[in-house]
Amino acid sequence: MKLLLRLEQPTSGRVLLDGRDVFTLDGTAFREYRTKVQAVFQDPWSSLNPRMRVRDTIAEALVVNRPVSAAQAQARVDEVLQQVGLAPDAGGRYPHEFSGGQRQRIALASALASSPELIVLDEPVSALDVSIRAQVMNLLKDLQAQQPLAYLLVAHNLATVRYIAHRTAVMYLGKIVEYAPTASLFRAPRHPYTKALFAAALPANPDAPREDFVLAGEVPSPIDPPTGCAFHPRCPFAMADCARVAPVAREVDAGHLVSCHLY
Amino acid sequence: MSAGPVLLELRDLHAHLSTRWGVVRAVDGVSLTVREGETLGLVGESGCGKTMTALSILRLLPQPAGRIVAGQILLEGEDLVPKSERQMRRIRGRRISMILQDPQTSLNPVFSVGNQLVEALRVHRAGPRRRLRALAQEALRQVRVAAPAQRLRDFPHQMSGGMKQRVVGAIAVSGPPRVLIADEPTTALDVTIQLQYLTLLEEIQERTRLAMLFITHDFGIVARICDRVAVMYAGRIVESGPTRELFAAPRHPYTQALMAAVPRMDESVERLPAIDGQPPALQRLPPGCRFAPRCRHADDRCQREYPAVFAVGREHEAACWRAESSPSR
Repeated sequence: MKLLLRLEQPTSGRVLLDGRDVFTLDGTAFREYRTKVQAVFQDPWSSLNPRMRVRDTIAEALVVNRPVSAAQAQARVDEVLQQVGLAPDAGGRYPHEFSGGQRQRIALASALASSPELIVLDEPVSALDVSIRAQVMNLLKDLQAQQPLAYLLVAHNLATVRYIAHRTAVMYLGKIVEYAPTASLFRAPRHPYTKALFAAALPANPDAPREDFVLAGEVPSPIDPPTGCAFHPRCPFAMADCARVAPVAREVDAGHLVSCHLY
Repeated sequence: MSAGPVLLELRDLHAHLSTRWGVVRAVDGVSLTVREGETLGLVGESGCGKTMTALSILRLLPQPAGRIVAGQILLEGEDLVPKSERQMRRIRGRRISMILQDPQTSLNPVFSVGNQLVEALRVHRAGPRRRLRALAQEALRQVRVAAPAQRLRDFPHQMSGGMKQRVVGAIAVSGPPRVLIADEPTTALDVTIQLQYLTLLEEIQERTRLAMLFITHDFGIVARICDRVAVMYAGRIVESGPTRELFAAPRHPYTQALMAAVPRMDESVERLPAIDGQPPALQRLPPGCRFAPRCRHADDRCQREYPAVFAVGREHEAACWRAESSPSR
């Protein structure tokens, strides 16, 4: 996620936006990229500057990358505040006057200000209260329905993923182990790690079957990941090959990719 | 699990916090019971008073702001409210203990794990250092830490989050206590580690028959390990009942709305029914039902008068005027 936002440099490989490698961009092209890709972070208490009025926070996202007049900025601020469901007078207030859910709306408004193509959502609702989460998740869906907008959602809660994401990639120790349309993934998770994640997620239903597939051990250090398939030391289905050969992604169903020697 | 006698009972407990913005009625008339071998889930959103309830029980409210103003806390029938700090020190850790959310801040970073376990053991036990060391090792084994002898020499930063929370658990149950309060103990852990930890708590409970008050906002955890549930909103318990019944037929509109607003793992939903608005500030509570401003069913009476508690099933109660007129089955 940080690579995608160009906050870190890759050791190898590329990040392409509209077919262009984002790490080669500079000058105008880089500023253009900054307007096209925005982010909303997990904690709305630390992502907003407490000493800036909401209006200024939102406008800043707009003016730093593009020449915009004050009047244009103001108009855009009003527009995005309305889009995220905040009252027009919210712009004149400070972050501490808002609740967590409202702050996350403000963070979203400032991400939207520059009309991005992609918003990276890093655990956008996990710091919010249960009764507020649905409000914000519904808002995310509405915004996407209203405009051409791609989201990259980073989340650990499978129910959140199921509700928002069209496609899902499951990561383990820096690698994508399974990648599929969300419906297909939830219908039939294939990779043992994905299966373990599903088994570990606790459905809000006391009669849910307890398919206890409790993983032993903990996630190893990414500094010295296991050889072969990184999951093999914790995998109940590990075979001799798993410790030696890193599996390659195979298509097991339409658009459903799995990196595992079982498939 | 079959439940035994009541070990912990709160009777109409009120705890206030004095702040610059006025008196916060953080715990405003909470009554609950937890039996031996039973897990009661205390569910609610942040700021609803769950943690303040827990801190009241241990008499650890923030000082000097916090104060228990009324009610009783009965631990095996004995009221803790009038106890002195000195008396409480003999009770905490030994008869009742607590696991907090963040293992990172529960452990002291400059002492080894063994040191901290021995310190906890020494509060309630005399004995030569070597024997306490052996007990500490046994305590780590109880929480399924591999190679406990080596681990005793480790410092907290050398351990993963899940491992640290196990150490916190080992300290908490070393008393061994009759009542354990777990305040969101798995919130800081990864999902796969969370299930390991919950399973461990279940195991410990099975072995020691301790009564557990489990504070969480996660209905998935409740469904998994709680025998009964109490739902808290703005300082009060609005509904309580056996887990299965509460999930099958929630009666308070807040419980209903909350359950409906949580996305589900096991089905695909186009749109979640969100709850509008947000919980009221605890220093400016509305006179009537606290959920009324957000409730779809609220009428004049709800705005005026706080609802009485009605029995809506076996051991199932709801504080809602609508529960008065409509019998449960």
